[in-house]
Amino acid sequence: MDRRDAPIGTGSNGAKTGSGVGPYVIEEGKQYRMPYRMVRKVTFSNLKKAELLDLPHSARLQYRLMLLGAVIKAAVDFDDAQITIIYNPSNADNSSDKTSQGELVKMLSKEGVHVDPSSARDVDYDYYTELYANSHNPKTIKESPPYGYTADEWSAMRSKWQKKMTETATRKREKFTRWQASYLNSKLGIVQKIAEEHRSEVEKGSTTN
Amino acid sequence: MSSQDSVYAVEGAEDSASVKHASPIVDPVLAPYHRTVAEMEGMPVIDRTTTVCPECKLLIEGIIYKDGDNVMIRKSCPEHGLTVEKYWEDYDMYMKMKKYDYAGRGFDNPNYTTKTKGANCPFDCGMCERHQTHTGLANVVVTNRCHLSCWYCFFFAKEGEPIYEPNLDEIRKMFKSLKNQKPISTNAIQITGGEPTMHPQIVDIVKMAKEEGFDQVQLNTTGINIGLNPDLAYELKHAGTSTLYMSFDGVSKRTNPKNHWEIPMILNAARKSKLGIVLVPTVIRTMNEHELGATINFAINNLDVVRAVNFQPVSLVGRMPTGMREKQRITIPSAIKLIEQQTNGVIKKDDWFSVPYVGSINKFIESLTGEYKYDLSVHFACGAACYLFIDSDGRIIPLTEFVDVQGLFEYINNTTIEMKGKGRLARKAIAMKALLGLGKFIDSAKQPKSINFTELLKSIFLKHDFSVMGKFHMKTLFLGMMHFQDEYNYDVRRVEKCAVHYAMPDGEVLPFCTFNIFPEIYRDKIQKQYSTPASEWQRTHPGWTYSKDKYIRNPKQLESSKAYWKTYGNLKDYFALPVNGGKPVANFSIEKPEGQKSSGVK
Repeated sequence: MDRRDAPIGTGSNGAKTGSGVGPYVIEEGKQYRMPYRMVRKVTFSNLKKAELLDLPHSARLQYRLMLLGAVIKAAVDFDDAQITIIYNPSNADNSSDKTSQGELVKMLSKEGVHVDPSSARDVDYDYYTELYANSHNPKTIKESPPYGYTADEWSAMRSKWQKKMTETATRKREKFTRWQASYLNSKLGIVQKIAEEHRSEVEKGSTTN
Repeated sequence: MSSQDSVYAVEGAEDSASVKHASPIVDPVLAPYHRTVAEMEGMPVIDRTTTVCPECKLLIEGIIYKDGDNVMIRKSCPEHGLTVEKYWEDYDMYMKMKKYDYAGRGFDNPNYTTKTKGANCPFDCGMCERHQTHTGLANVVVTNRCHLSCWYCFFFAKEGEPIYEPNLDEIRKMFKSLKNQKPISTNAIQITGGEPTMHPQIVDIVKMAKEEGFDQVQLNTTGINIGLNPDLAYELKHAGTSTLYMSFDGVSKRTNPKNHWEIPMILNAARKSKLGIVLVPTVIRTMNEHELGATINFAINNLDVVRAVNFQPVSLVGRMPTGMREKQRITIPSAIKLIEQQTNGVIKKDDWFSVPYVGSINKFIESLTGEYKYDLSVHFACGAACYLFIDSDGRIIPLTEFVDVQGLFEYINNTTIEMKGKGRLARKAIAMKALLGLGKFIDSAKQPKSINFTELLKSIFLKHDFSVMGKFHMKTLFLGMMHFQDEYNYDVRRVEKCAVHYAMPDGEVLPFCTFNIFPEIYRDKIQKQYSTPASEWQRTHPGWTYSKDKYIRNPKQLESSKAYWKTYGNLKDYFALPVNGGKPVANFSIEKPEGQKSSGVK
């Protein structure tokens, strides 16, 4: 499914989802609350380092930007003298706190950082595909081998380890299922209800999914 | 909500960063707070770190220094002045625990990457590539509703506030994100809140956690709903709950107003359903620090169902008057020393070791097998552990009484180093040779009669099977210390190595000490984004009100029950047994029905 087409508040076939209220996306028939969709990302560059002061003050400025309800993420890069803010714009179609580039410029000015709005790069930002999706399924940026092994040794061992992990997971699951059956058998009366529910789930061939 | 009980906030009027002038202080516990600047600057510096100003959150240098037996941290904000706080109340213990600190691997696929690679830590969180320790215990908040309204708590939804209660699909997605972590994902999950048993589908949530592959499923709970509804205990156990991580601030009514009266019912429900319990006292000086030994004794009395006691020295979040902060602050070594005093030396200071010690076992197994194991690279100041065996005659035997723990871990470390770069067969040979030498660290004359510890260790190392521990688990008690930070003692290096993480609905993963210390930009902010406004919640839950969620107890009725007197009136003082020295544990008291005096020895 192309995430960019995921509708908010309605099912993939256009039908109302869940309670019919609130912002949601539907992924493979499942409903996920999505407070934002299209928001904005503004980058202010070529700032005066003298105004950012130093790294600790830049970090504090980042914290202060994050205090604003309408700011979703902020990053103050002292080394490159740049500030990037993902924010919920005034015209966004959601009920969360909102702000505008102008208000952010004013706020920064009060903090002693003067930005030139005309040179700011302010673009649409898809919260769902960019932030949410990437956080839930982040890229692998490195590969750490087990202690005592080099990266080359590990690359030769990896597939065997992955196979073993899959087998271990299956074995654990089977062991747990056997334990569940013996637990039900050991307790009478009060868990008869649980036993009946469990039996009907096994017959259906699935549990909660 | 036990792990979150560590946060204690009071809206205070005083400036928490005020500099104190020297004044005559009688109480030696408070003296380190009242030095002059010159005195402090003359004291030996142990280390330097990055911390935050409690007022404005400016990143500033923290100087960790020795003040007599105490390890203190001082920091100076150019705008808000000097803050002095206790870091670790025992210099010798600090230096001993520090030896085993090591940097872990962190994440191969961090959830949030920045151009600056986390330079603005702790404000770059999400989890970033700078983080050094993988998730050891994941917390997932399933509701912000709670049936209690503890005055110090800021986690539960108050009248009119939005309700955060993700649905099953949203929770499963967080579970999947956690299991997707590389190189190693967590095996342990703690389902928390608010009060997690308020979630109408809590049993299904536990089932899902097992389906997604978590071996250890804990519920962070007051236990009250389980005590009142024993069916729930069976359902939770059957679904896969391993333990209840249960708030327990002391043995008496005064120290544990949260669930003192329901504890008997909760223990019974857990007993019948075979649920394990971890008692979690939040330790606050001047409030309950006098009952630490009595709490351990209570746990030993209920060893059939209590697996561990995890003490949490209070985390002082929020602005509070300096005087109150000084009086209530307690750190891990102080709690350990109080336990030694209160148990008359049965559980000594030297019986405790830091978490990274145990990392050496996992590194050994990993080096031998080439399979990822848990990396216990947390900061040494974050926690401590002690393992007690209770022998058939009631004798309480700390692990260190018959195992040279320090020597053993050093021996294993050296073996791991020796294995590096060697081929598979050579590693096995080195490991076998090392295993044959394990016996020299175990005094078999002093070990509990019921176990052969050497054989047990060999089983762990050869079969990598920790389940053998379960064979004698009914006669053991794990004691833990976990000290979550606050803005006064904040050390960014500790945050970078944190293993207790929260999974968020937006996909991010946050360490405990950013999630809870800066809730205004993490916990509260993100949960608010994903919450349902009060009006919408009430519309979709007809008849629901905030007040209907609240539990109201009838203490007199509960105190008159048989279970209550059986639990509190029949306690045995194990520490008073001749095999344990014969001296009663401090503040041990046996409750009596109204009209009869409480008895016991103080």
